[in-house]
Amino acid sequence: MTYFRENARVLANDADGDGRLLRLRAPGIAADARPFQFVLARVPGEGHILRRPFSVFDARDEELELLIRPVGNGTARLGALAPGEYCDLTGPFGREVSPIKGAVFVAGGIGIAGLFFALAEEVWAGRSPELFFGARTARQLYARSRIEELGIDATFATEDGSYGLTGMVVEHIPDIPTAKEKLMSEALNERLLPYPHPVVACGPPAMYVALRRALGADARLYVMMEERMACGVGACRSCAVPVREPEGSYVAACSEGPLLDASAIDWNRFEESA
Amino acid sequence: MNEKMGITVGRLELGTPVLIASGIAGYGDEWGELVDLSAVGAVVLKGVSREPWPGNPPPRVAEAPAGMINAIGLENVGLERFILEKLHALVGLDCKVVANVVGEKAAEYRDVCSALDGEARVDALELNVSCPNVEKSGMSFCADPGGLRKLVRDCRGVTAKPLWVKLAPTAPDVAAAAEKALAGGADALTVANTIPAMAIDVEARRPVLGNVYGGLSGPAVRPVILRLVYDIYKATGADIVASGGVDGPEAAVAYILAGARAVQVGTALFDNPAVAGDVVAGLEEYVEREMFDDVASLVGKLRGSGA
Repeated sequence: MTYFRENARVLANDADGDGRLLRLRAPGIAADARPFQFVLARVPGEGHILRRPFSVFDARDEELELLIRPVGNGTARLGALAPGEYCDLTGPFGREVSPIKGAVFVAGGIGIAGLFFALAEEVWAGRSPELFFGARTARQLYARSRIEELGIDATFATEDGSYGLTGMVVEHIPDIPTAKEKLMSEALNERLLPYPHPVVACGPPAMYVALRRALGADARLYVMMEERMACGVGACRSCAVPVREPEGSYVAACSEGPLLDASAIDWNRFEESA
Repeated sequence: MNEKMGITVGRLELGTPVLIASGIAGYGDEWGELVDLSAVGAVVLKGVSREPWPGNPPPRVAEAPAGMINAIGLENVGLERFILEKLHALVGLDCKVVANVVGEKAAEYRDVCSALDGEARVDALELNVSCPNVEKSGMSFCADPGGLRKLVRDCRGVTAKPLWVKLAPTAPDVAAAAEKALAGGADALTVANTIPAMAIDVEARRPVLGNVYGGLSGPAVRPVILRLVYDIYKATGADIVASGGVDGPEAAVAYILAGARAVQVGTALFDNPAVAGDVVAGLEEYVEREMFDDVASLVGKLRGSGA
């Protein structure tokens, strides 16, 4: 695996809901980056020791896009970078993943940043990926115009009803048995058919818990894992994700993920620490 | 490589006085081309225990003013896989390799030292008796100098390799602990480990770290560790490897003037993966400009210190 460190020139910085979409010139990283991988961005100026991880939102030619939601001082400074300014980037980090054919994609809020590149690759490969994208409010349904440009079959939902369907997006995925259907089938002692598609999800921990509950433990579910991290290369073991085997152990989200098979994760310990 | 940068620590000859601290560079090869190991005198590998350790629940890191707090909990693959998989991957590495040894009991330290004594790729051993993140992991040895002396002597008895002892900055009397480590047969002292700390998320009203407590590192700790290096050098004249917030040449020069023969860079790598090379280049420039023969002749050359 090759890692680059590039002083990337900011080409554009556009508002996207309450976030910022940055386009940067980073030829090395852009050429090598694959879907589900990420970069570490140095916070401009002084005062921050740890770089901030961002999914590669999209990459083509010599350009890279990062979707940033300012939540603290570090992300605010990065989100405020003006065209012509530079950003010290390292990457691309994370395991390379073969396309998961026929996958249904589920995004929660800023989680779309971790899925868009994969969705775009699916479209370029001539497939028609399905996306279920939920957020608290319309301002957090990022990159809607880009999703529409790609012609992706997308279902949007907001918790406050400000755009698309109302409620949690997981509740709007067809073919997932509802709680009522599950109770009925239990009462009739019938076995429900498992969800027919692999699911690739990126969103907050609560969304993963809801998805797993809805899909059942047998589902083919892949999740993007995020943890506070430092090195990005699997050396420091900061970004630990609890796994079932060996019992009590962890994998590093940065190098063994960020996309992980949900069946490998120890969800009891995950929920304890989330 | 610039010959003026060469230095010996204990019996170990180093190409440069800049090392990578344990825990930062994993098992040596994870960083790939981001970290140029040809600039460093040695890489200190992630601590290895007799059996595998899973480490602490996440979150394991938190940013702090001028530093970071970590509570990794010494996650490691254990001695067997360390030897079979990790050491063998380092055959082509063009710097010295120091194995960092951790344990809960003296017998565990001794067993790891004994096993690594036969490994050609290990150039020296660093006993970690100072991790704040694992209950009973050695820190108590620093609080009990008698126990520390016995531990070092036990390990000394099973290995002919250079033996360093990484001290805790919070021991009641760090200079006394240093003397006991030397009396037990240590070739050199690493001064020091992280400082016990914590962080609180006020919105969630919870500790940030899964382990509640962690260890503070980075420039925030540098003045504290600088004073320890100075005191231990004055008290013992020992060969010292300084470890605490080195993020550039000036910090390295300060430690060397205080008495260190080498420095370890750690936390700064997360910000600047090229920091080791930057420190070496700055040291070369300083040695030239101030007309010293070499970096070794700079050690302890502090004016007006009353030493």
